[in-house]
Parts: sequence; structure tokens; C-alpha cells
Amino acid sequence: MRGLILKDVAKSFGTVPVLQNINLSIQTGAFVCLLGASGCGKTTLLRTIAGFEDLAAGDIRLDGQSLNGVPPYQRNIGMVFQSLALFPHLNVIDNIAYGLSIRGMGRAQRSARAQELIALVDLTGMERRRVSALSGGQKQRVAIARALAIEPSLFLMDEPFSALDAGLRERLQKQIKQLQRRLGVTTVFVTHDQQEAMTLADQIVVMRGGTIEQVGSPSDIYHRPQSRYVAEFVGQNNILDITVKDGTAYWQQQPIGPAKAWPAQTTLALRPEHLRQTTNPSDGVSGRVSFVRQLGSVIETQVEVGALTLIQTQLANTAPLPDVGEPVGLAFDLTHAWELPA
Amino acid sequence: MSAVTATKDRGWIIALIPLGTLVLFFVAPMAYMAAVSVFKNDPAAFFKPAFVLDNYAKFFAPFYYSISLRSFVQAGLGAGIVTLLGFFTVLFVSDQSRWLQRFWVILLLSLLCLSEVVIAFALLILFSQSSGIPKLLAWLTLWDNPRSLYPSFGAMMAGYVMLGFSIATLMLFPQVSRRDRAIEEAAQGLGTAPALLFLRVTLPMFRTALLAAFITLFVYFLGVFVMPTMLGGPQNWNMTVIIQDRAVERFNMPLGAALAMIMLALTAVLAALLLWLNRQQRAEDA
Repeated sequence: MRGLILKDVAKSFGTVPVLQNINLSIQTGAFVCLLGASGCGKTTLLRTIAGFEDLAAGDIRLDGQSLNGVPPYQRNIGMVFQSLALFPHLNVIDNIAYGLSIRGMGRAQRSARAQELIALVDLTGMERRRVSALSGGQKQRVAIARALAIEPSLFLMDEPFSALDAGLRERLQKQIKQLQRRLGVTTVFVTHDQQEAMTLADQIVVMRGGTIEQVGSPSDIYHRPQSRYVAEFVGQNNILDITVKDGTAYWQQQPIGPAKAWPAQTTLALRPEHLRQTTNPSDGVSGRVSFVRQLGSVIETQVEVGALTLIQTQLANTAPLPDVGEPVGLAFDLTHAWELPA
Repeated sequence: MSAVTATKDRGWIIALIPLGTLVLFFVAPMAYMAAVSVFKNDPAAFFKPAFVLDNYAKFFAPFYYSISLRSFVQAGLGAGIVTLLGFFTVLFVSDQSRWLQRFWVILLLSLLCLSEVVIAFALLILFSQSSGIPKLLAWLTLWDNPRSLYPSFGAMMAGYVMLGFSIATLMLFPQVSRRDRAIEEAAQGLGTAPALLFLRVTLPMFRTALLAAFITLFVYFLGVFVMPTMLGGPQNWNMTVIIQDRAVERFNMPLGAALAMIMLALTAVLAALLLWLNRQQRAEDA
């Protein structure tokens, strides 16, 4: 089968296991994001695929060929490192053409290919510039072009935009997505930023403690989390332990709406946008505003209900901003509630 | 008057300290040496003030320029060997744990405490027929006819290595230890085999640092006196030994001063040439 397949991959540092039982199948041309908190093993997994870390167990196959025991320089995998790792002694064009020169490509041919990539990443006119004289965004693009120049079978990126400001990061995210679509190269992108993963990925792999928590499309991950961890890690979520009685769902002993085909006791994930502030207490539960913040077009309100806190969001300008300490009612739209597996 | 203006006004007083130090310990002796180099030699009174270029002319005798050439070759070779050895050592040390790195740095710093005489004497014992390596090899029946390994070019080079090793490593350590390891990984990912990695990436990456270490050692080794005298023997004496011989042993201060001035000028030209070549290379890269 074409694409990348990881089967029962495991890796330890000394006696500490950092990757366990990793099984993953990535189709050719897909853009996959490894998403997880710091220390969850996503970078280690990426480095293992690139060949910079040895496997303790398992098998990695790329386009049907096993990569086990194949050294990094024979894998034909392009990688963009977190630090970018540009060659400081080479200028822009020589950095990009480096992999081609190692492959023995003639000067004219590699120069033409490097120019092609320079145009692709919008660096025309900077060919002879030293990499130390480039801005952060330009360095990123050199690193991307350098990795793509070798026409890799697999393109890996390890949190390449983490050091950039928000505006530049957004622009580069769009560019890399367009570039990847255009070239059709299978891409694995490591990030801890869920928004970045949502923007870029065809498929998101959520990792936790060296294992895969869930694999799915951004929509699946957001709307249908398979665990409490994914529900809480990807975006904001209200986790509600409810009881169901006579077709009505109860939370904190208060009715919150009609139940779906849920068991008598279960846990729901309800996104903040599916809670609504109300002045009528019979519509839902009542609580007290503990925190309010305006996030551009959205207002986020945290409401304390007993010892628990719920998060609610609504479009700005649709209602007045509540004051902290103000009593408020919350209505639940349970048609969007997602039952978390036990 | 604001505090900032007052500090600016007094700034020249602070500048007097380094300026005075420079004049007292560098400019004045150099100027005096330059003056003496054109004086006339007077065996009875060391020298007589005059303006003659005879002392400089003597440099062009085969004896002097061949020794100066030998001095440059010895210093260049020594600096090259020590820089490379130091570089390999630093690459190795910088990949060790923090604790081991600290241990190595302390060890290298402690090596700096050893004077040229102490190092030369230690090597003299090590290379001597009666108590050193030759005796050990004879005892191990690996050498039938043991003889002293000094004076020789090899013994002198060993002295240069021991003398300059800690300087080279300590000069290179900060840059090498802070290097981004991902650069070497990136090169491997792009297809560089481990055998090529050093030549294609690691070495060029530190070209300027290596050149700086080389020039420092080169200049230092040109002025080494004890190593050629104790370990090298007359066939390996460098210009420093000859200058000392002419100025002190033969009471010809003007000739010694002229030879020293010529060596100084040649050294400056060589160092400038190397720096210019490095800059040209960098400009070509850019």
C-alpha cells in the first residue's frame, strides 16, 4: 500500500517509555497533524519516522517499503525542524540546493530546481542572501523549500511556526497548505496548537502520554471526541456528568433538556457555543458569572454553578456584556451534545 | 547639568586607563624597538643612535630568511595540528553529559597553568632514552636499540600540541557546544552520509572560529622559545631563538630588533591575508 503505515511502534528513553502501541495509516498526499501537549511524544514520533530515533518495537512502512534499519540519509524524507536548522555557512540558494548537490545533480540543473522552489516560496531576489540576514518568515520558507527540493516521499514538519507572531503564522499556515495541495506530498505536521491543526490537517492525530488518543478529521475531533481528554484538549468543552430520567437529562439535579437515547448515567461534551444565557431560570440552570472576556467577535463567559464552572460563548453585540458576580441562567442545546464513551 | 551629561564629560578619564595601558605596555616598547632596529650596533655600548638600514638588509641573507620560513612552517603546521585536534576534542566533549563537559573544561583550564618550561621538561623526560618511552618500549621488547626521541622535529611538535591544545579547545568550546545539532540531522535527512557530514557541514560551519583559533595559535607558536630550544635542537630553531641569540648572546640589539620587526610585519601580513581570504570566501557564499 502507498502512504505511511506505522504498526505497533514503540520507543523508550532508557526505562521510560515515550511511545507505545502506535498504529497509524496515512494515505499518500494527506496532510496529517500530530496534536498533543508538550511531552506527549509527538516530536519523538516524527523523529522516529525520519530515522533520527531508533524503534524499540514495531514497523514503519513508506510506500510499501519498511524503513526499519534504514538510516535517515537513505529515507528520502524532507524535514523542517523546529529550529529550522538552516546551514549558516550557505546562502539561500545553496541551502535549498544542498540536497540536490548531495544527490550528484549537475550545477545547472540544481540551480534551476532551486530557482523553481525559490519562486514557489516567494523568495525571488533573495537567492544570494545569507540566511542570518533573513527574517523569521523568510527563514521558514527557505527551510520548507530546502526540504521540498529533494522531492521527498514524505514531508515532516516539527512545530515550524511556533516561534512566529500570530499574523505571520497565519499567513504561513495558508501558504504551506496551498503548497502541500499543489505538490501533493504526504505531510506530517507536529503542533501543540489545536487551531493550527484544525486549519491545516486533513486528519488529526491527538496524542497523549506516548499513545494515540484519537485519529480523525478536524470535524470528527471537534464534534465527536472519543475521550474526555480529546474533548477537553481540542477547543473548549463543557463536560457534563448527567443522569437521564423519563426522557429528560439532569445535571446537578436540575433538568437541562430532552435526552437522546442515552443510558441512565453518562457523560456529555457540550461546546460553549451550545449554551445560551437566559433570564428565565426554568430554561436551564442558574449560576453566577465568574469571568468574562471579549475574544474579538466572540464573548466568552464563565459561569459558576455550585462548585462547577461552565463556559459559554456568544457572538459579540448580540447581548450586553454581563458583569462579574451577576446571576445568570444558562440554557443547554442538547441536540449538539456528544456522549463521551465510558 | 544632567547626570547623563556629567557621565559623558567624565568618559574620557575612564578611557585614559586602557589608553595608558596600551601606550605603556605596547606602543612604547614597540616604538623603542622600532627605533633601536635602525640604530648602529656598538659592542661596547649595545647600540648607538643612528638611522641605518643595515640590520634590515641582513634579513635577506639566506640564513635568516630560511629560518624565518622554517618558523612560519613550524608555527603553521603546529597551529593546524592543534586546531584540528582541539576541534575533534571539542566535538567529542560537547556531546557528553553536562557533568562530563564541566570536568573536561576544568581539566583544560588546569592545563593552562602549565608553563612552557614545565611542559618541555615533562616531555624531555618522557622522550629520554634513560627514563621515558624508549626505555618502556625496550622493556616491552618492542625496540631493540632504544635512543632518545629528542631533540627532534616530532618532539618539538608534541610540545607545541601540549602547549596550544587547551587554548584551542577553550577557544572553540563555546561555539561548538552551543551548535544546533539539528543542522547535522537536517544534512543527514537531505541525504548526507555520515562520512561526508563532517566535511560538508560540520567543518564549514565553524570555518571562521577555526581560522580564529589557527591564527591565534600561529602567532603564539611563532614566539615560542623553550620548545625549539629544549626539544627541537639547533636544526629546528625558529626565529625567536635566533633573535634571542643575536640580541642577548651576541650583544647585537639593533639586529635583534630589526629581525623582530620583520617577523612582526610578516606575521601581520599573513594573518591579514588569511582573514581576507576568509572574507572573500564568505562573500562568495553570499
